[in-house]
This record gives sequence, structure tokens and C-alpha cells, in this order.
Amino acid sequence: MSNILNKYVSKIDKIAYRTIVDEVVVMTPDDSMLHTLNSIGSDIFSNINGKKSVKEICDIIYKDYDATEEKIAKDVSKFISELVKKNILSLSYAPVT
Amino acid sequence: MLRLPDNIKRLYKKAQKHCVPIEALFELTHRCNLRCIHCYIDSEKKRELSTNGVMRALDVLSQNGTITIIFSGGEALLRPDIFDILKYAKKTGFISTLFTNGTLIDKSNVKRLIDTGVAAFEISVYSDIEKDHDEFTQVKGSFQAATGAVKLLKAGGADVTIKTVWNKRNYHRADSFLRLASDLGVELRGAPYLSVTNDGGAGHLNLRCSKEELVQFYTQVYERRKDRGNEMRKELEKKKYDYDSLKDKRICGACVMKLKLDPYGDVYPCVAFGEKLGNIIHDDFTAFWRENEFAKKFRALRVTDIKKCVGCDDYAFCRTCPADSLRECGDMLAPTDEKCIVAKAQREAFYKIIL
Repeated sequence: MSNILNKYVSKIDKIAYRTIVDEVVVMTPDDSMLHTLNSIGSDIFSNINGKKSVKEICDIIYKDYDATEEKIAKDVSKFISELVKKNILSLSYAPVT
Repeated sequence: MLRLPDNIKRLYKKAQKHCVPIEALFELTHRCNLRCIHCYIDSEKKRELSTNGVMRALDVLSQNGTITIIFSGGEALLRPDIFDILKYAKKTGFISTLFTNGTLIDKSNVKRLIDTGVAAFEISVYSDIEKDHDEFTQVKGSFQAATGAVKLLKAGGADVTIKTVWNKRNYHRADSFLRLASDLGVELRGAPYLSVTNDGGAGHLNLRCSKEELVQFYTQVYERRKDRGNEMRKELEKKKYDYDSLKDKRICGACVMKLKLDPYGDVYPCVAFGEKLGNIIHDDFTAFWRENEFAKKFRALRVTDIKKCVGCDDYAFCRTCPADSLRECGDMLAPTDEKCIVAKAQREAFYKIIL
């Protein structure tokens, strides 16, 4: 997994999602798949708006979870990379306006 | 029939606990090209939501957690914008089912309809005999059109179910009706309930089966399911009336995790309750969904509040509906005679065939 911390992350336009209490479920229309995110995944997802870098999202998550910065950075990066592979998120070098 | 993945079923439980409207039934129009004798909808001459209005309503539902949606009518396919609505629902992440009488589906539009992304189609068929179905819908040719639609949708790879209302005219034909479904390659679902209509009409209630007829009906059903006897006996044990577990259980999902939307944007607790909660276009949905007095009162009720049913031996077979009770008995906690009769008949047949 390459270092993505300085990249900006946004949701792909064509995905749809719902928040059920504290859990996010993402629908990918191309394959009609439903992806339910766990609690920390839902927190990460809720912070993704195209304007924050992965590093900034890690900083927000770090405040809420009892783990080292390194562990948070690794887990958040892994989670985001997985959703990029599933065509739910995209990464860019600049914020998306 | 739509089968939800396990991860969504789990979310349903969460929605039930926290009152999230995860499931909606959207009556897109009350207009219909059939005149089914049991239909509960009264045809108002009001202005339906425009295409934009429907899309706005879908956006509000989406923002409030709705995932599965049933598009119904009247006959939803009478709306010229139906394809745009279904496509929009797909785009915005809904898992859609379309309830239709099938009469407007033909070779010219079936592919377009499937391509909208509807997950499942449910088509109403009232008999395996053409003449009987057409008499029920009061439109000649409707049986051929409905079964023709089933075939076209199946050929196009769609998920199709036929559904019926078991009544005096068709209960004795369960076997041949199930054969028709099997020949069409689809599942047949049905229930023997007939409700008072939205405007209080009860003329069609004489089509309700008697207890003896229902025993005969369920005997046919259980005879076909005998091979699942062990499984059914285990299920029965789990469903028996248990006060301790039922004292925390809500009566049903109406205005808890499901709602109904009518063609004018008015929101109701479910398809059967007539109590309006608010309007999805003109009112603040989040506010009325949380604060509506009827909804709050209903959500506070538990199964054990239906005093007549406490400890009832027929409970495992009972589908008591508080909305039907309210319409028929003026009290949502007073089970209707119909529900009691059906449950007793089903239990009798179950004990005779399965136990």
C-alpha cells in the first residue's frame, strides 16, 4: 500500500449511501452491491468530503479512538485504499471543489 | 421476491430499535386501469406529485435512512414518468420492488423496465382461471396480460413473484394455482386477508373465507409442505406466545421502521393506517417522523398490550394488524374476528397435517 496520507479523498459521485443511526451502508449501482461499514469505517466515511486529506481524517479519528497515531494512519489508509479499489472513493492530489 | 442480504437484515433490527424508516411503500398514483373488487384505495381527484416532487420525496427518504422501497399504486405504470422515477431510485441507492397488475407490460417496454434497475417485480394474479381473475379485476383480458407480463419479465431475467388474496372464490384452488406459478417459474405468495377500504367500504368482505374453508385451504398448503415438517415444528416452538419476550416487542413496524407515502406526498405509518403523519414536501420530515403524536403513542405499544391475545394458543399463526383493528373495531388493541379465525384455521390444519 503506497503512502496516501497527503492525498485528498472524495466519494465517487455515482455511489449512494445511507446512515442508519451510526452505521453507513454504501450502494454501488454498477454491481448493485451493498457495503456496510463498521463503526470506525462509518466515522471515516462521514468525514470524507473531498476537501480533507487522508492525514486530516486520521487526525480527526485519532481524537476519538484509543490507538497510536501510527496505528490509526495505517488502518485509515488501508480502509480508504480498499474503498478506492471498490470504486467507492477516489484519491486526488488537490482538494475537490 | 426480494431477498435482502444478511448485512441489511441486521440494519433492519437497528432501524426497528431506533425508529429509522428503512422501508417505504410509495403509492405513485391512485389511478388504476383495473377495478379489483377488494381494492382498498379510493380514487381521489387530487393532483399527484410531479416527477420532481417524487424525486424530492425520494431524496428526503434517502436522507432519513430508507433503503428498500416498494413502488405501488393504483397502477404505478400509468405514470408516464415511471421509468425516470425507477431509474432515479436506482441511482440514489434504493433497492426497489415494483407492485403492478402487469397489464401495461409488453414486448415494447419490458427491457426498458428491467433496465431501470428494479430489484423485484410483484404481479397480482387472483386466480389460475382466466375467467375468475378477469371477474375479480372486472376487466376482460387482464389475466392474459398479467401472466404475459410474468413470462416477459422472467424471460428478461427479472426477479418476479405473483401474489394473490385468498378468498371464497379461489381458496379451493390452491393446488392448481401453485401449479400455475410453478409453470410460470415464479413463486406464489398470498394471504387470506381482506380489509375495509380507505373510505370505509366493506361490501367485498363477504369474500372472506369461513373457518372451514380456511382449514381446507391450509390443509392443501401444509400437504405440499409436509417434507419441511421438522423445520416447521421447530419454527412453531419459537413463535409461541411468551410474555417475557413479547413485553418488550413492538406490535409491528408501522411508523417504527416503515412508512407509506401516497401520491400527494402525505406520509402514513404503513399501508393500512389512515393516520397522516405529515407531508414529505411541505413539512419537515425529520420533525414529524420523530414528534407526531400518533407515531409516538403507537411506538410505545408492545405486543403484550393486546390483552385479548395474552397467552393465546393461536399466536404463532396470528398476523394481527392494529390498523385493521382500528378500522373494524375502533380499537387498535382489539384483534379483528378475521385475524382470529384465520389463525385458528391455520393452527387446526397445521396440527392435523404437520404435528
